[in-house]
Amino acid sequence: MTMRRRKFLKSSAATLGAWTLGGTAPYYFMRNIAKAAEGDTIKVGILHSLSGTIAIIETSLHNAELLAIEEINAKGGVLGKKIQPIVEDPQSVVQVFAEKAKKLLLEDKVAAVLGCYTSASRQSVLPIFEQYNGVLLYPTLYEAQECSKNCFYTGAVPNQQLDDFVPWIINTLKRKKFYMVGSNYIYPKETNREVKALLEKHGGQNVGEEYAPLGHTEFSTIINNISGSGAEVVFSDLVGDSIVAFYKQFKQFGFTADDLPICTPITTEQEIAAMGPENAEGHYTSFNYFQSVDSPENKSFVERYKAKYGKDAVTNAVMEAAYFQTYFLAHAIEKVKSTEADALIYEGLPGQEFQAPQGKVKIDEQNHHTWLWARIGKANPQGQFDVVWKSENWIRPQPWVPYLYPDKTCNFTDQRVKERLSKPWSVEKNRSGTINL
Amino acid sequence: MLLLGAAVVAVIGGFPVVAGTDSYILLLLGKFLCYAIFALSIDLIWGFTGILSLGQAVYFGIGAYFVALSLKINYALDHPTRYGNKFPDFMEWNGLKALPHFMEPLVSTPFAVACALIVPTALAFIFGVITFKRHIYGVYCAVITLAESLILQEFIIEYQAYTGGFNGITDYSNYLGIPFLWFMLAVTIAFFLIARVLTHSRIGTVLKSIRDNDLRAQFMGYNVANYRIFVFCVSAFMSAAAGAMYAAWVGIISYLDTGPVFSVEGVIWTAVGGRATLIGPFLGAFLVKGLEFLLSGVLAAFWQLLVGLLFIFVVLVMPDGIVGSIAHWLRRHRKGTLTQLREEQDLLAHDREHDWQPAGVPRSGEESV
Repeated sequence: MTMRRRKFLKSSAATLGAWTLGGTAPYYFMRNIAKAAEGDTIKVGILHSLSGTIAIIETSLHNAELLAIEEINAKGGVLGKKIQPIVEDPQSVVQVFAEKAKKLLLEDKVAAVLGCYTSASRQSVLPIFEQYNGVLLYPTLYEAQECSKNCFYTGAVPNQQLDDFVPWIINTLKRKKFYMVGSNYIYPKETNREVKALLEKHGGQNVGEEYAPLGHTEFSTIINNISGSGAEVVFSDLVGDSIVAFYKQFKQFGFTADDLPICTPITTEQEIAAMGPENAEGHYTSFNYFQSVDSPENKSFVERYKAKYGKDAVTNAVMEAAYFQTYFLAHAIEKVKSTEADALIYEGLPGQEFQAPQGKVKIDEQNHHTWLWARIGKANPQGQFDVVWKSENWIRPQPWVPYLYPDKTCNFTDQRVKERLSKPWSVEKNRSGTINL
Repeated sequence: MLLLGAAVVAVIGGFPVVAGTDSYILLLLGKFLCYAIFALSIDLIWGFTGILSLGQAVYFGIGAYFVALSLKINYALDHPTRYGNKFPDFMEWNGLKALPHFMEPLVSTPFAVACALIVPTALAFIFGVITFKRHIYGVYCAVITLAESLILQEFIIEYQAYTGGFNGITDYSNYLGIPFLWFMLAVTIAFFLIARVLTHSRIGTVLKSIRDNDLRAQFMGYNVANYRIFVFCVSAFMSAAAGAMYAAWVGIISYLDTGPVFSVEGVIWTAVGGRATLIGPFLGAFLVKGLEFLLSGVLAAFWQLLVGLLFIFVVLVMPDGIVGSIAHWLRRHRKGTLTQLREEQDLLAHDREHDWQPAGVPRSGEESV
């Protein structure tokens, strides 16, 4: 009896001990790493999915940001300290984005977070950044109609991608009848609303509009509908795997880019590499940056990227934004000599300029979005884009699309906005810089 | 055992009091409680009754969407959206001009909570009647539940004007805080007790006999289909409650929470923790999810590999899961006398005979009896 009890006690103690050790050891291990680094580094969170459905593109953003941090550290860091990236994997799941954002802000106390790719993920973390007054730099082109105090948008908004693109298709390509194909979620829906408004303004015509579920790869019905619609140009805002499937099936159906070009604000070199360049040849993309951009900054950027991630690696527009936004952040911290959020938001980041691979870019002083260049590229047989048109100057971002929301604008230097945002989050939950004109 | 349980409850309940409500671990604790209830609901049907459902997330998801919609509609009434209107923003960018009439009742949160609990349970009942009454079970049941889950996902994405679609529903005021954590803890304990009473009662014995050999159970005069429907409804109810609390706690809900991947995750937690045990699902959910969270930060690039290895290890070395294996081990080491050893051998032989055997297939040696 005693024997048995002792044995039982022993075994349960051993199990309990093992569990406690197994459960807590990694935690302390992690804590110690974090603690060791405190004081002599500046912590920056990197929040891009490294696993799950959008990992392919987000890994490239994560790579570009790490490359920039490495370069900044090699030149001596910021304020004499090295930047320490805190990498988290949000697994392409919106809830995990939110919980990781919370961890980065509260546990790691990072100066800022570089992260997110889809609108869904941005919208899932924004409430957290607003509540805890964090700083998020977001590199993706997106549908606009948003401006949060705690977010800096370094990707393009529609006026920087569409305002010149749609009239260019109508006047230079001489194609008026548009057929719109998109993935079924917020970005394509909002974008197509803007395209339709532009068509009306410039005398184009909308002959069809169709949405496929995200990840959809079977387009024969849609292509059939296009073929019977009398369309002169296909405007696509499909994303992800759907792009690859659509271009391939479009070609298999017998369409050539000369008969019926696909024009899109979202297909990058990455997707072209995935589908094979012969499927994209001759189609058009409007972007701020292409890998083929001819500037000394871009040559050296592409070279360094390939040196770090392999000679087959391609660069794309969102990556380029991820790269230069890291410099924006470093220079902003240098400017205000602090990592305090309000100092970065009101003094450090607005007005920050940088000679990026696409040309000189700047964060707008008023609306937290970025001045960018517009380009139209024609896909060539090498899987790159030949730039066929480039804006004469950089273009000011308009987070509220003027022809859809003429009475709204975003201005963080406005007295009313400043007054509202000076109240703490617990009293005033509206952290947007939107004002009615 | 009771002491250990009390200690766990005290640690979870006391954590936010010590660490404050601004800790992200508080967020995780609440989520894990919901996951644990979800795993428990899977254990009831899979571990105890032998119904493998790959669509349990349907009930979780419906519960979650009712609550999230109600909270979102109410939040939009008080806080104009980014477009400046008083109804959810995802309706606006989908071209709706106002809150649709059929959604107006959801302004009342108690009504939404009632829907969140009743609708999934009723659905489970209908599903049970359709399948179990026709003696559809095993692989076919798993396939049907999988299809159910995919249909719901498609529905949510297709009707995004009413569901938020791919973006899901976010940015509403959630109930993250100490009182709600305690409430969730109380619900968890209640469900645990219900499951314990259920599995240790006569009904529980019948359920286990259905799992082990449903034909024999039927020959003994039990209405197998009714028992299956009953336990399926109980399980759906728990799952729906977990979903409802999850939506209120986390403040974000998306179509992924209704999908087959989430259901399979629940099955994995149960398998790792130990199926047909009541502590197993809790341990499995906390362990696997906790490990995922830790590793995806420390080893962001290859954490999935480690989690995968853990599953393989558990399946190969501990087919009964962690709790099941510990129980076996304890049982073996506590027996001393010859009679007890014999008893143990009998039990083991019994276990062997019934483990992983598809129902209805004659077992080796059975023909000669």
